[in-house]
Amino acid sequence: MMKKTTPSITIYRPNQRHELGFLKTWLVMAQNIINSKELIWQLFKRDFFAAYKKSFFGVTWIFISPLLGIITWVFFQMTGVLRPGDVGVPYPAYVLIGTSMWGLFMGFFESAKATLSSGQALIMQVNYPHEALLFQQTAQLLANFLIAFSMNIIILLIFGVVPGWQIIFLPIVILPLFFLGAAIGLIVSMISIVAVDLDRIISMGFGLMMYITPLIYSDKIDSQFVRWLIQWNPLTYLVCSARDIIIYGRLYNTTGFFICSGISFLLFLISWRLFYISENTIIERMV
Amino acid sequence: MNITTKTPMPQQHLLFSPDLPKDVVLSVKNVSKKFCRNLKRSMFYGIKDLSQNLIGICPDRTILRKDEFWAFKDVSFEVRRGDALALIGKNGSGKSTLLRVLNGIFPPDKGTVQYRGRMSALIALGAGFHPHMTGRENIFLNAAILGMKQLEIKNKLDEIIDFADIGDFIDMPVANYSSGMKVRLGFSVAIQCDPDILVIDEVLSVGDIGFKTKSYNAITKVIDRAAVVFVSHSMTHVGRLCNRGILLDQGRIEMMSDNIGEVIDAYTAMFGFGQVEIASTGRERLLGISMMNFDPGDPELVLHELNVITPLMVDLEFGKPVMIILKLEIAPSVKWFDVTYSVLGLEQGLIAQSFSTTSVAFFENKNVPMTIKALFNSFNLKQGKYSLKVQLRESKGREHASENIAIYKHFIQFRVCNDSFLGAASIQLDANWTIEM
Repeated sequence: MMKKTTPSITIYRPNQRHELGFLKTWLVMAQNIINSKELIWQLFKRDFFAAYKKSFFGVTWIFISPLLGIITWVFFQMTGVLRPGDVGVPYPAYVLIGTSMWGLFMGFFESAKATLSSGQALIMQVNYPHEALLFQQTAQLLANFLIAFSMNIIILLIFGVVPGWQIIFLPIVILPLFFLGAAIGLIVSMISIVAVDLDRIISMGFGLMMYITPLIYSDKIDSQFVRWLIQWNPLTYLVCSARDIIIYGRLYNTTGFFICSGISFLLFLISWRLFYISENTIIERMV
Repeated sequence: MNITTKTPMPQQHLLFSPDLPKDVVLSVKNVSKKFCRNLKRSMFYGIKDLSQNLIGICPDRTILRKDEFWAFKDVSFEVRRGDALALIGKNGSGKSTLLRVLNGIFPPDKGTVQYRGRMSALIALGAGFHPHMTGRENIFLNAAILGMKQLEIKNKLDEIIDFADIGDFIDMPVANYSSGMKVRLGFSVAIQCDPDILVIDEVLSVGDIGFKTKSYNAITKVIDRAAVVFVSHSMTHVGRLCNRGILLDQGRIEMMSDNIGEVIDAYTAMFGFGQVEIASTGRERLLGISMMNFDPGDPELVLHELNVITPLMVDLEFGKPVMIILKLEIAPSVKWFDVTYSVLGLEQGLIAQSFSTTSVAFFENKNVPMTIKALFNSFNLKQGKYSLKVQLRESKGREHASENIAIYKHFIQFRVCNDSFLGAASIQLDANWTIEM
């Protein structure tokens, strides 16, 4: 057995987390996450592999949903119901990448939202850093996304769209989506313990937001009003940039993207801090 | 000196604290925790606190708002290495909440908790077990949740599997396990994490006798190098494991003592045997009953008036002979009869019995009021509360089973008093001890 060095002292006091400086919160939580990388990995293994243990097709399920998606959009285009305007690339490819980016954003939000609720049983029994679950959930989402995304790229190539070298920036362009999704998700994660209403409102809100983001249509549309809505929708800049970097090799709107990214990052910092100082007082109301 | 604040991992923090003496591993000072009675209002307070936090206001947690109450209040104690402290109390006295605060699951609303080193909590065994994963896979998962490093687990894997002793099941999905097996595996992981403080919340009630014994031995070993805080309703286990005790009542420390027997007695004194229960066939008439310490020099025996509503309360002194006297009349249809006395404990149930048939064969019914005396030369029950059950039976000869005439339960309740604590066992055997060279 290893000889123990002088053991450190742990202290619990009321409102202890408030005493920590704003930026230091960030460091402490980052430290916690690094320290719990093994926990994150174990939980990831549990949820990722266990999800497919009882399934015949296993991980192939992840490929099936984008395939179904593409069939739907090809079918819609064939019927002529959709007149999306000229998007420069085959329409199904445009929609597929756009909606998958939207899905990624929603996934970031949902993952963060599950930070407290997915570990509910554990939280009341064991003391562990709850922020670890945010990363476990996000890692899981990214794993699923990567599998589906490689499928999407193949479909893209079949449609004759070859992504440019700019695709290497994709991880950076995705980052603001994570910041925004996680910022909102972390707050909803706490509030949904004491009031489920907000969760429903925000989830419905996002459903509507998707239609004012030019994903299944081009932004060159006639309606002045819709164009105005699109313009003021921050997700337009974030989600469409992630799509455009793949299919056109550029950002949707450089200025818009950077402003929205900055705001997202700021929101994330605030939300992170709020989560840190509030989560342990909220979970005692977990019933 | 750099003082870091508590984050939920046991890795940071100071190496020295001015108010934590060197030999103390856990210090709890004036700790209070409040809860809200009303669910809706509790949720409202949650949102209120959250919005205050958002705009940077630190809410005052020390005052009670409407519908709030203290789950426990101003609890202070210290635990040193080698101590095994029992937290006992009725259901709802705040024990489990206190454990959660000690463990950092809930923050305290008042006061400070400080501990040195690693705390391991056996609050729920097998936390996070996934039913589709094998026992082996779940060991790693469970250990990671408890904050153990993967390398540490790998080194201890054989020990853990050995201790759990569940054979081939280790490579089967946990869904196939019995509840006892899950507890075995969970306990084996938790006990291997080499804690400085072990917090146990009544988790071992599922395992079989063999595993329970093994677990208690393992916990006893931990006490040698660490401190243990033990919550249980089983006074047998408490008496066996702990050397100190705290009795909680309605969130307050009712008693704290280095004499665990005293605390157990105070706890059992909170409960009673309840009302007298009589099951009679109507063929007997009880005229008087008495139970007392018997002094040969004092032949005056007082027979108590019978009152079937309230039980008779008797105080006995430990170690002295005891006499039980019964005066009764039995219907002429009964030719022969016998009497059985049973001593019942609060927690243990049946503790000791005495059959009249072991001393005399049967009593003959004389059809007049009879007095039956039973003298116990050594009546060595440890201090505590007991109840006497009297059973009258009609005897129909050796070949036939006896038939009940009447059973009087909790009719006499007696307390054994003793100045010095002897041990946890209910019966203290009397012997003549000698030493020879």
